Amino acid sequence: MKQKLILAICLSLAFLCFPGCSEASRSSESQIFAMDTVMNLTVYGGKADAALKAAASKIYALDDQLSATKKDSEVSRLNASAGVFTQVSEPVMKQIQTSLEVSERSGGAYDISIRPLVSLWGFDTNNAHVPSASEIAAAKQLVNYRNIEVSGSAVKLKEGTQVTLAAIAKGYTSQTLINLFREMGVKSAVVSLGGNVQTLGTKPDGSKWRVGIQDPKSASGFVGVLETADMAVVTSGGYQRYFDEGGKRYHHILDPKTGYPADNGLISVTIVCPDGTLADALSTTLFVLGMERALEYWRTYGGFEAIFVTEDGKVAATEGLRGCFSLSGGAYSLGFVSKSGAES
Amino acid sequence: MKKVSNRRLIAILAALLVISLAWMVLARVLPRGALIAEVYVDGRLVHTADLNKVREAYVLELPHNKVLVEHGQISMCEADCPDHLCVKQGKISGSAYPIVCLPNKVIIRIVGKSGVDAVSGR
Repeated sequence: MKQKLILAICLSLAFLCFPGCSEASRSSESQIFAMDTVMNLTVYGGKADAALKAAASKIYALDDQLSATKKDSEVSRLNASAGVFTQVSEPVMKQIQTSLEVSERSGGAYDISIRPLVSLWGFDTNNAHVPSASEIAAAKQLVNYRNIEVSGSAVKLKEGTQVTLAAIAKGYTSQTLINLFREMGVKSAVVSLGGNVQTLGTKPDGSKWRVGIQDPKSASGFVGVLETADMAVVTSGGYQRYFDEGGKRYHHILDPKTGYPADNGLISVTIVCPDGTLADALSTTLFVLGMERALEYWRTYGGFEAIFVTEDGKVAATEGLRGCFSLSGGAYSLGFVSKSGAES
Repeated sequence: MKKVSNRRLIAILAALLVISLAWMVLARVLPRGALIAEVYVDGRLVHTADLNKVREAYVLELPHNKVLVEHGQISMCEADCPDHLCVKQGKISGSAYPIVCLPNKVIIRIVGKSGVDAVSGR
């Protein structure tokens, strides 16, 4: 009798219990300030703490290496040795090669030799301002990815050429972290490097990660939510880093062709692809290209999916995202774009 | 006598089952009681508050920032950083976007379900 009663109580208590308190769903988080942003890393499983520790030292090392504003970084040394071949490390070489390929494919819409223009506008300082038309014309002369020459593990910049990896370094770093986690045996992780998101595997329960796409028009909402696994999700937009002058807003993504902030009706572009380095470079590229030429790029080269948000409240997603991307509210209308050119 | 005991047992079982089910339903339906805000400086948790239990607003003084803690919301009210982006972000009451003061390495975030695991944005 007593035993039955105890059994009944146990069964009832089992009802109250939550499932999934296992080792695999245990998570550790860390916040890291580096690369002029804040990074949030979440790693699941028994190796989480060791993985986060290794990740932190990797991030600080890459920050010292890749910064164009830190005086003794590898990139600064490269910029200071124009005219001669300079040996560069594997991280720098990988980013330069990916960049040159994207520059070639986009007809120069993306160009890491844009540094003279970025410095002229002051986007790498706290005193951004609108330069004069003649200053812009002069700086534009110095911007050309063809002035970057690669030979083996060495790089030569033409006199006057200055590179910045700002539009690709965070993507390279997130990819490096995901590789590191995988090597350490981690099965499940999500990192956000100031809004550059990359995921490893699925969530511990096997479901997909839910990644919100920030609403460029509101500081508190999402355009929509993407369900994904093993992907980088990187967004470029002019809505967070900008300054106002003479009643006009100037954002930080410069078009190498005009020397002015890209102005083509797009307010944000999100790239979804397995390679974080490529995703980061492509988000800037497609933002500068504008919707039409961006879709042309996607149709020609593929290898990624994209979500475009336009000034007039439209959202266009490439067809591979059908079934994984949905809008969050009623502020936008969504259409999917196919390879053949049809929209639905 | 035995019959009575059995009935009693069934009654107890039924009661326990009803309590468990009610618990499960209520846990989902009732609003969550707490709205926990956390303040971090350089990765260290320096302050936690249940915003729903804040009766009188108060200011949390940090070395370079001041945080205004109010009923149901929290904000950065002062900062000595050059851009003041953290102050301009205003008051937050949900977990989607934390307030970040990069120069001073301060983060204010609200713990809880935003419905997403990460936010992609720039």
